[in-house]
Order: sequence, then C-alpha cells, then structure tokens
Amino acid sequence: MNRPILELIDVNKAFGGVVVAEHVNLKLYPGEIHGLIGPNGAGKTTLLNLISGIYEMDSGRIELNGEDISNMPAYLRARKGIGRTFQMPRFLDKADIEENIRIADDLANPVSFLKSYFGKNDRAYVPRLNELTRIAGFSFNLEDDISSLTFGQRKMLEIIRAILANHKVLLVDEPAAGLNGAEIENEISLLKHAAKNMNMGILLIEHSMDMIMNICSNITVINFGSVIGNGTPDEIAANQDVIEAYLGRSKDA
Amino acid sequence: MTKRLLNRKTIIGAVSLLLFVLLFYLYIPNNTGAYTITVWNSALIYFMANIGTAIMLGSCGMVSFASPAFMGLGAYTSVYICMNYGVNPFITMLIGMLVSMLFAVLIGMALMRLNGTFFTFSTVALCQIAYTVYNGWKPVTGGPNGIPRVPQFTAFGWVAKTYFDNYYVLLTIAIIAFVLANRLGKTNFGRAMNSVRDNELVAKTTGINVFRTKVTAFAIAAGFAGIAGACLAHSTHYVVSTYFTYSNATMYIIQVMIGGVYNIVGVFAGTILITMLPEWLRPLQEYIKLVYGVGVILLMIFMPMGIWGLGSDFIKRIKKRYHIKDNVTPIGVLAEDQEVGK
Repeated sequence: MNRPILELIDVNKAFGGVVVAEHVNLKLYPGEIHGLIGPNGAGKTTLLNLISGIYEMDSGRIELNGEDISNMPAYLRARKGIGRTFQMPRFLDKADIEENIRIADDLANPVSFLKSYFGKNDRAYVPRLNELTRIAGFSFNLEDDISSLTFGQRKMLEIIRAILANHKVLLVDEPAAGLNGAEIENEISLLKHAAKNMNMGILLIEHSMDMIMNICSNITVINFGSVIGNGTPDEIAANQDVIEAYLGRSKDA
Repeated sequence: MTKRLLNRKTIIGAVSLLLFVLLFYLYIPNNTGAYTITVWNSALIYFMANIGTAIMLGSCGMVSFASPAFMGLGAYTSVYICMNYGVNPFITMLIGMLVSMLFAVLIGMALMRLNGTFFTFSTVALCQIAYTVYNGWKPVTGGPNGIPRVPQFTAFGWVAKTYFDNYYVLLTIAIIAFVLANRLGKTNFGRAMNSVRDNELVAKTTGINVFRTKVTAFAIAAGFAGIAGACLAHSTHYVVSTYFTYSNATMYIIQVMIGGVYNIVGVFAGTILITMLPEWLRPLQEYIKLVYGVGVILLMIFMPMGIWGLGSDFIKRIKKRYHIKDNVTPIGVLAEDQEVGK
C-alpha cells in the first residue's frame, strides 16, 4: 500500500500560451479511489489525457508501478495497465455489445492472431461480465446493439469494459454526470468493487461532491492547471484555498 | 453457455453454402455460353479484389482506390516470374500476392499517416502513379501493348484450356478467399480493425496500435488485390496496363458499396450485379452509362447499406412476422435482485 501504482512528477503542459498543467505532482495507490476535483476548465480532463497518453506532456515524468511511461504512446500505456473512461461514453457504435466487451478481453488475455483465427470463439469472460453487470444493476443481451443501452448504462458498461481489461489504473471521467440516483448508487458499488476486490487504483474526476466525499480516500484539487490542495476529504473540506477556488474569496477577507 | 454445435445459424450457413456450391460448380457452367462464362470469370476476379476493398472500407473505415495498383503489381510480378523462369502459375500468383503485400506495407507506412479523405485522395494518386509505371515501363510490362501469351493455369499435368476450366479455378480461389476473409472479422485483429473504424480513441485506450492495424489492413487488401490481378492475367492469357486504371478503381468501389460493405456475401452480390448489368441491359446499349449512373444514385439513396443491408432487413422482418427469436446471451439480472450499495 505504500508504493504508488501511478506517480506524476512535475508534469507540465501548455497549449500555446495557455497553461493547462503546471508542476502537477500526484500519487495514486493501488486499491485507492482518488478524487480529482476542480472548477470547470481547471485541467482535470487534460490531466487524464496526459496520463493515458492522448496528449504528450511538455515536461515531467509519469511512472506506472515504478516504470517510466512518459514517452510511451497511448496504446502501450493501455497495455501496461492504464484504462480510462470518457465524459461522453465512447464505444464501437457499429458493433454489438459483445465486440465492445471483447476488445477489453483481447487486451486482458492477448492471444496470437493465428490462435484467434483458428481457435474456438470462447467466451471465458462471460461469468465475470455477469458478476460486474449484476453489481452495476442492469442487464442486456450480448448480441444487442450499443444503442439499446441508456446513457447511464453505457457509462457503466464503459467502466465494466475497463475492469474486464484488467487495468491496474483506472481513470474515470465524470461517471455520475447525467445519471439518476439509483444508477449513481450502483456505479459507486462498481467502482468500490474495482478498487477493493481488484486492487485497481482509481483516479476519479467528478463534480458531485457527495460522491467524491463519500467514496474517495484522498482528494487532489486543481485549478488553472496546478494543484492547490491534496489530502483526505476532511482536510480538503477545511482547506481555505479550495473553498476560495470553488466559492470565491469573501470581500472582507 | 451456448456450446451447441448444430444451432440454427450453423445449419442455415451450411445449407446455403451447399446450395451455392451446387449452383456455381454445376448449374452455371453448364447453362451459360462461352462468352458469358468469361463475364463470370471477370466477376469472380473482381470479387477477389473487392474483398480487400471491403475489408478496408467495412472493417477499417477507409476508402481506398488503390486496388488496381496492387492488382497490377500482383499480375506483372506473377507473369514476369512465370514467363522468365518457367515457374508454375499457381506458385507465381502467390509470389505476386506476397509482393503486393510487401509493397503495401511500405506504401502504407507513408499513407497511413493521413486521415480520412486525405488518405483516400492519396490512394487515387497511388493508382495513377502505378498506372503510369505499368504503361511506361515497356521492357517489363509491355506498356500499352501488354504482354500476350501469358501461360494458363496448370497443375499436375492438368492444363486449363478453355474459359470453363478457368472458371472452376477462379471459383475455387474465390471461395478460398471468401472463407479466409469471412473468418477475419471474428478474430482479435478483426475487432481491432472495427475499433479503428468506429472510435480511434477507444482503440488506443484498449491497447490497439492504430497505425499498425491500418497498415496491416492495407496489406491484407493488397494481398487480395494481388491474387486477383494475377488471376486476371493468367485467365485471360494477357496483361495490359489498361486493366489497372483509375476508372476500374471507381467501379470496384461502386461494386462494394452496392453490395454492402459490412458483409462479404453482400460484396459478392454487388460485384456480380455490377459486372452482369451491362450484359442484362444489352438492349439499352446506347444508354447503358445513363442507366448505370442513375441506378447507382437511386441505390445509394434507397439502400445505403447495399444489397446486404436490404437482405438483412428482410430477414429481420420475416423473423418478426413469424416470431423467430435469435439465440441471445443474457448478461446481468433485473434491477430487483441486485445488491445495492455493497
């Protein structure tokens, strides 16, 4: 528990003159749900993109399990164990649910092309998928189209896809946005299951403070691309800088 | 889990394959004239090349006009080796295919840095460049005069003397190509191609090397084109640069689109339809281009998913009408039984 699974060391990134990440340091431990909060436009999603390799950072270092992954392309980082979900759920729209799940299974259990070509089309992932879907509290047929799922179900299926891929780190981008209360409850169980039973380190961006305060053991607050607070939920709730960033400075302070 | 070997889908597949084999091996060659069989031959050759185009378009989401270029590469390689070193055509065809794939890897590594429309235009350019080379490199390709007396198919003392013999050879190769390509979609590489087509961001974040997947798909398409080009040369005993023009490429794309890009059976139907259309429309000879053009526009408006799309809609309707249910694999349970807030 004392060795971080993911570590960001002095990460910097600017788009032209706009600084979106400035000296960002962050440690994520396995089995931990780590909240990443900040006002709109603070650079939270950018940070996720930097970690997953969709953007290249200008300087700094990202370590996964002690290994430097700073210069790896996104697909290699995914193979090393960084998974993510998106604000708007992303799937293969023209494929059925099975194919969408199987790309995760291909990552978790890579087989050679020839074995996949001549081998049997087995569905060894189905029991686990069943279990995870039960936790997420919805049901579907493997042969259905992605469009037959509701928005909330799609968001949860994205998390399930990432769990099935056996990632070590899961970057979750606003999982609760657009979901109703019951769905959020289920989603929280799903994330807790991933952290507790699978020992994944989860970095969670969320605007719902209830959810953040409820499930995160640690919280990092960023604003204008730099970290302005880091600590347990209680510490963050009492942190003056954070309160200012969210509520503004009072006139007579 | 569904471990039944003989489910309905397998039976339907096997029966239709059997009917197909009977129809194409027995009925068609015995009921067509010497001229029509050559049309069938070219349809089968186009189909082989179109499998590659369909893999690019349907699985990988990229429009490629490059197939005549690789057909030419396969054809000239095969003919050159066959005529200069006296190697059996079946072997040189395979060499032609491999050379096509090799070149596709090299060219693909440059072209795949382009996205979408830019890639498509670069394949148009590739097609034109290849044609210029085939037309100009007279010592090897014979230029606009072509290479006559290309050796016919031979194997173990058997020689394909007539166009009917060629038909059986081409049909067999086409079926092999069909079976090979059909399975491709169900492999991990097939899924990688589909994820590149639908969402590159998802592909990257599930560990798929987008660039390599695209280059490989391009090489596979070139392989199918290469074997088709070699078949074309050996079955017509002639190879000339005008076989490999850009206008052929547009025809192939139309054949694939009309058939339906997501299914190879559809591609087959589209290829046959477009190849046979001039024969069926012979009474309208003067207006054939007009009919053809208007027909293509109407087809694209009213059946954008092609013949296969129309067919699968029809099957869906039949299933609904007669309450036939597909085999499904239910996942998860209803909301009542869930464990909330574990």
